[in-house]
Amino acid sequence: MLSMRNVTIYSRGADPEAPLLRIPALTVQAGEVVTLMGPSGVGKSTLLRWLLGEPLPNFHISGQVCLHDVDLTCLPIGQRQLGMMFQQGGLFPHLTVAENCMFAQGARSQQPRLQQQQQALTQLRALGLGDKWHAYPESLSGGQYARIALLCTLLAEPQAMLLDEPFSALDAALRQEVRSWTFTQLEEKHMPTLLVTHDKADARGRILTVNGHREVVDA
Amino acid sequence: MRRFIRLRLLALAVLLTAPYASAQAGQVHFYGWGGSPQVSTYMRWVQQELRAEGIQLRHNKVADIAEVVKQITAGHSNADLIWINGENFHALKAAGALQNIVDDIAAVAALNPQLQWQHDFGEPVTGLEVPWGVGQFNLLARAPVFSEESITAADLLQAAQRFPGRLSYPKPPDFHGTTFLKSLLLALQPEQAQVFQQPVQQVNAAALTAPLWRFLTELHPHLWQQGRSFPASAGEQVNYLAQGQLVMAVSFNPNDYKTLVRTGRLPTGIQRHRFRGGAITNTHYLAIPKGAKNPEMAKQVIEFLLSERAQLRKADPNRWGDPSVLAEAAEPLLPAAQEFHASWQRYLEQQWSARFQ
Amino acid sequence: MVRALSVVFQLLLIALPVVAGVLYLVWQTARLGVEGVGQAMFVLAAMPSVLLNSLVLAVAAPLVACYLALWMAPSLLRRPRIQQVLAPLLAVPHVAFAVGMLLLFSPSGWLLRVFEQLTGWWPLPPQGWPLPEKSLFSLTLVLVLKELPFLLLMIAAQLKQLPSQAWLVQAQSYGYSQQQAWWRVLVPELLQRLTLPMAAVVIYSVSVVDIPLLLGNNLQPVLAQQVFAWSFQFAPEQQANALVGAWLLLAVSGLLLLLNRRHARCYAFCVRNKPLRPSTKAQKLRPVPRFAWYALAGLAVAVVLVLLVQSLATQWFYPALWPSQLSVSLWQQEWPFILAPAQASLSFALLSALFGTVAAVVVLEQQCQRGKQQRQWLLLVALFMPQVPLVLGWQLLLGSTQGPALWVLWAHTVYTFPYAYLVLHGAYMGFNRHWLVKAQSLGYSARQAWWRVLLPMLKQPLLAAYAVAFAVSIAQYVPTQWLGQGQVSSLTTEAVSVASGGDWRIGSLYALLQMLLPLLVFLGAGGLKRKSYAEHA
Repeated sequence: MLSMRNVTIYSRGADPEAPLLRIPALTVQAGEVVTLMGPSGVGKSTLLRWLLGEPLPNFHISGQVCLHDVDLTCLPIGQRQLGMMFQQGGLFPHLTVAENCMFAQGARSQQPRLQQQQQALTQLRALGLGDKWHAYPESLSGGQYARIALLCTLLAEPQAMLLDEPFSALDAALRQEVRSWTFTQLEEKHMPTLLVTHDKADARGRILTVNGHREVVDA
Repeated sequence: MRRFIRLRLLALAVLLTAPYASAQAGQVHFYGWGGSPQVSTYMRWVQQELRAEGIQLRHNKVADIAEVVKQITAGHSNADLIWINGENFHALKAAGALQNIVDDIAAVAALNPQLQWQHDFGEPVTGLEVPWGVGQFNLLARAPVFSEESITAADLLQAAQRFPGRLSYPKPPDFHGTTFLKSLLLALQPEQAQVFQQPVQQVNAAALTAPLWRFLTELHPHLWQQGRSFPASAGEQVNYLAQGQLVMAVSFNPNDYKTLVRTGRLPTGIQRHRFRGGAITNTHYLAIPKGAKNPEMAKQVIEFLLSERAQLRKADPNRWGDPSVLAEAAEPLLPAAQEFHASWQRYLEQQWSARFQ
Repeated sequence: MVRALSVVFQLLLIALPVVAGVLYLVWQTARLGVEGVGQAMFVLAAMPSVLLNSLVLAVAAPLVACYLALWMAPSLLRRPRIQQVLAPLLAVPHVAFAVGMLLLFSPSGWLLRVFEQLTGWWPLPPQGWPLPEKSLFSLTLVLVLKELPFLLLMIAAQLKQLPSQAWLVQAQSYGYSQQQAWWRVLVPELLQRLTLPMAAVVIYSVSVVDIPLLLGNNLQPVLAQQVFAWSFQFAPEQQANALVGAWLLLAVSGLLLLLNRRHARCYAFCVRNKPLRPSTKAQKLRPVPRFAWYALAGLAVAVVLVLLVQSLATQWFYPALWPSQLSVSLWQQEWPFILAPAQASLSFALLSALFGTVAAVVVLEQQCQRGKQQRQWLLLVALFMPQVPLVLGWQLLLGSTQGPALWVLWAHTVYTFPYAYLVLHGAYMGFNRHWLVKAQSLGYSARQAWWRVLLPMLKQPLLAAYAVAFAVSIAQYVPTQWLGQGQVSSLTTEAVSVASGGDWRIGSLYALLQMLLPLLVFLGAGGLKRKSYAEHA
């Protein structure tokens, strides 16, 4: 369960009375997908980056975020156990698929290396992409890339997922396919998932929109 | 395998750190111009011989000994022994940076009495340096340029007209260049030889040098690059002579016309010439700075360098070819002309650059 | 931690050396008194051509090199591997390159020997050849050709940072020709990013001494050359001239740096206002630049070859195309004496390039974290101070002759650091920090992410920076000779002192040795990994 309280985002240097975005309270239950909708520029991505723990020198952000009742607010990114799918760039370009997988597992997984490798390879084969094990990301097609990127993010054993317009770089036909596959994967894992998008077609689960007061109200 | 890696790491560490080991005791730091392979080869022999006597001689080659003079006068040099003369000696003497060593060197007694070494470019030596070798200013020229060994200023002008753009001289204040001016001055008015021994302020220098400037004004348009640029040094000029851009070069070593041909630096058919009025002759010296860490050993080195064996080897035209300074080893030199009083040096340089630069 | 380290490095490698140098200059100038300074200023004012020559050289050489590089750079887009051609030219020390150029193109050079063999027109080296041994033109040309590879290396690094292809395609879709798209879209951005490397080139052109000594006209010298000459003449008025000249040199450098900062903006302005010729036929970018790359590669090979032949020649006089006899005797004779200086050179270069690169990374990381980069020119100050007063200042303020080799190592690092910074700056600042966040989201700490993601992704620029720094260290003469106190002779101190006699046979031998080590490093740096990843950033 991912929850946040009293989150307020200000642009640094802007009017302190006019926050960019405010979320009094929002909870994402295990196995639930919550979609945050709104036009670009209202600070949706900023919210995700803050949740992830990235330092954002151009914003002033206050609030509290908890994962399974553990307060994450003061933890560094690496210890929050949140997975993130970005618009672009999910795989490290200097590593092969295999190395990307191993790198994703490297920090948290308690299993022996060999078992990690087996696990990753098995899952890759399950996607029908076993032959890409030694390929570099640049040689992957858009669909392959998106799937392997999610695979890697999940291999890092996150407790919740943040998705920042993860399908926007894909073309329409592929998008449909990757989207449904992604959500199936996340639902199977009972992963609390927060998705931000401006595209209605991408939305899933409980849909919240940014209202005229730049507020998100969790009904 | 691991041991192998460890060994390689060790080797790398040794390789990287070796230059940082501290200086050995019993080392004499000798600084000298490093531009002559013949000198370097000779010094390697000296190092070898001295090692037998338990002296580690380090030959620190520099591009210009003035660098070391600058370091010594600034108080930051570890030189024990230096090879100098002329202006560099003058600067060190003025700075009071040299030890009085002549009385401690036994070999001084064996010096050639003919050698007028008590003045270095007109500056009294006052015991601060001992002579090591002799320089005699001479011209190296391709065979057809001059007909006589001894030439006049008029011969030079004629040659410049016959070989337009093929003659030049090193740009003063390079000391070869300044000596070229002195030689010309002497060749233009040999009867004034004694006057040039006096300080420039005590004679009518303007009148004495007027013929020289007139001559050069006439000469320069016929020179290499129409006198708009000059070789930077005697070494550079020798290269131009070798390749044929020039048909003449200058030298302070009276054996260069043999040595440089033998070592393949110059093609055959190079002849030696001198200006009428004699080859300006001076001495190059060894001196010990006041800051020397190892002056006693440096004096031992000087004794060796002045020994008959070392001087003979130095004078061998198949090796360095620098004439000996010893009485025993005296050999026929070029007819000598005395060096000018030291004050002429600066005067000529200034006047030259005021007129032609 | 990063902040503290960055401060330490900046104090140690910039503040300390620069302040020591400036204090020395101030102290010496104060000793001159107003009258002495006035007289020296009068002397300098009476020789305006010296200043003018310096300005011509320092404006012309960098600009020509810059636009030549931009003209050749499109080849890098299609064939990034072509960059490898630059390695030998980058590795050749400046003086060795100048000697090679002399041996190739001077009136008695190889080119004219070939003409002579074919035509028989010039039994003696011709006069009036457009590249005489000593002229401002020859000097400028050699500097242009030597700076060209450095700028191409910098452009190559920047091109990987930019979505170059996308920009070119988009501009062409607007109706520009390929050529126009390059010069009007990419070049303005490239120039903006080249400001710092150009600053280094400008500073080098103002302050270089050894090449003008070899190739420059000495009746009409450039300022740095004249200042250098004065500092080794010991009459008080010449010493005064040298000091005032040093200040003037600083002022000129400062002025040119200011102008350099306006360069990109000026170019953008000109390009905006230049009327566009309608492109009737598709103007392709390629053919001519490709030829230039081959020429550059050929030049590198020719320089190395002529140095090699010269070092093997027992004698070799004009108009012989080839020495009558080749012999390894010179190599055999020198070999036993090469090991110690080679070891010293290698040690200084490996370590000082390492320290310089590490310091550059730390300072860049700190600038990234702080998010602003001001007063970058301060990092480069040491480069544009004349070396003679600078090193004297170090000796005066920092003193002792104990452990001279460590001093030399430090002095080399003072020079390797700014160059490493210059080379690395574009790639490091352009690095997408998103990758660090991504790695941390997988559970790595910030430090782990930096080591395991940023460093590997910036491997290419890091290696390039290291290689350039290595070459910079190898080429140091004055700091090595003076601070080394004769305890350390390097290949360069040997090479420079040997070259002062003008015997190019042994001079070429040492020049070759001098370039050998950097060449290995450049080739190694270029060949290590199949490609650079910075382009994905």
